[in-house]
Amino acid sequence: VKHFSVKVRTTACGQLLKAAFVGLGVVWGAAAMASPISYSSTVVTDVRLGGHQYHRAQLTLSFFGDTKDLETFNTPVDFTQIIKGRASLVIVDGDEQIEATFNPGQVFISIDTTNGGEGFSSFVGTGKDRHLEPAYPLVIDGSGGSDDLVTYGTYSGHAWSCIGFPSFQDNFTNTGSNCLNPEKFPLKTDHGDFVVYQKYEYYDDPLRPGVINDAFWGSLNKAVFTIAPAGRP
Amino acid sequence: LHYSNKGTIMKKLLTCGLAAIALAGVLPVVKAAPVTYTLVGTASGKLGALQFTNAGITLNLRTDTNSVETSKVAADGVTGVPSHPLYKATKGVATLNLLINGKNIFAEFRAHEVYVSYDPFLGMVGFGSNAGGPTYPLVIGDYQGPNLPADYYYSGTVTALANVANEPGNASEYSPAALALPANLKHSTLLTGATINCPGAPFALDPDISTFFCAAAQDDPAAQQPPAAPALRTSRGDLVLDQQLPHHSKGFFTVKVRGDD
Repeated sequence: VKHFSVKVRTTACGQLLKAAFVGLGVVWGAAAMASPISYSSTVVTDVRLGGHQYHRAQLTLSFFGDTKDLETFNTPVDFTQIIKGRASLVIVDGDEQIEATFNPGQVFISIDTTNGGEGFSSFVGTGKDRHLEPAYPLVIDGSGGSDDLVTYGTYSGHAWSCIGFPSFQDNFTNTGSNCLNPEKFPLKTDHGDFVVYQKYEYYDDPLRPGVINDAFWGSLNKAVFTIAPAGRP
Repeated sequence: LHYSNKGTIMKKLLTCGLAAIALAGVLPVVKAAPVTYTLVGTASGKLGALQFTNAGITLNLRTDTNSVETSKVAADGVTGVPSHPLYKATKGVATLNLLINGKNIFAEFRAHEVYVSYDPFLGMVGFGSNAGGPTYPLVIGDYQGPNLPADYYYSGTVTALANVANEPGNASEYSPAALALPANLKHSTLLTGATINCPGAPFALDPDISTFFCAAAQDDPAAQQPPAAPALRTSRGDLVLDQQLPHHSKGFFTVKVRGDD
């Protein structure tokens, strides 16, 4: 599978999740029935598109694919992804609405049912720096999520737009750092470079002042994630 | 004589006009700005004859900032919550949008059916109703009981702001952008957290702090059943939402003031 050759950034406890992508696991299943499907996620945050900054704008990401392209892994975590599809975004800032389409091969949909997280993951960077980011541009985690990527509904959770997720969560050494600057890893769209910022964070560990609390409550922002039949608004 | 009187009248009008202009420059002008309150989350329940589960829900109230009423909540000697403001917007046009299997279903609430309120010290904001009380149909927060401040640990920005309002020394626990969010209904802001509701009664907290239930009194087992959710009248029939307890679903509430930001 093409994406197995992608370089993965190594980050503490995130290794488990990322290992699922790099082929330590075995593809053991895929959706039997082909069915067009859509995914969308909405959050309010700061974003940048084509050099223009939007402050506390409503961002909706969308992905259209087919269930026949779902891939499931069970090692080291239970993980399902759909890489083949078309991804786009809408920014609503007051009366202004901006739409853009992601260049192919960057944004895809994933769910980690072992740790509980789902949404829009990506391959970022170029050349030898190209790597996978499971929690960027936007995923949700914590209770409230779905159990798979095929059950229609709207789900909710802590919103993460984090490059390097979850490098801050090293509970053994009480060390770590916050998410990396996303401006160094812009996603490419037909309207220029796109960046999502994670601005609302919780630091509550006296041993790690100023560092995100953990991979769930560490993000104060929330988002909704919708799975629906494709072809509908 | 006629011309002379006319000149005097003109002078007086001119003087009055100049005085009015000067006064307008000195006195503060209370200017109403259009504002939209929006809550986005998930919900299960019924709208008219339509039953839904895990729908996306968006509640809106469009009004203006002059319609926001500010009242004073008295200090609570038991919980230590100090006297603080409570913001409420009861006028305007309130709407509902449900996203079910990719299809949007829109409805408008009857006038005065729902309102928006925000208690920045308890950490609760959202849509209340006369029929269902301050937390029904849906609010954001980790409400634990009457006059009990939010459970900050399971927090969003609404509980972060409440935490710091009650205990300013805790500000170091939050990122600067979270601390900079306005904590009222008159300025654009983003208030996030758990989506909860409890028709007619506040939440009660189990003594072991592990379970929450929507009930009238936590010591009375018979009363620990959630009260029936009242029907809210909309243009597409009655809306009834299932109970949402803390720590399950999440959502966000925005205040968008035109010209703000």
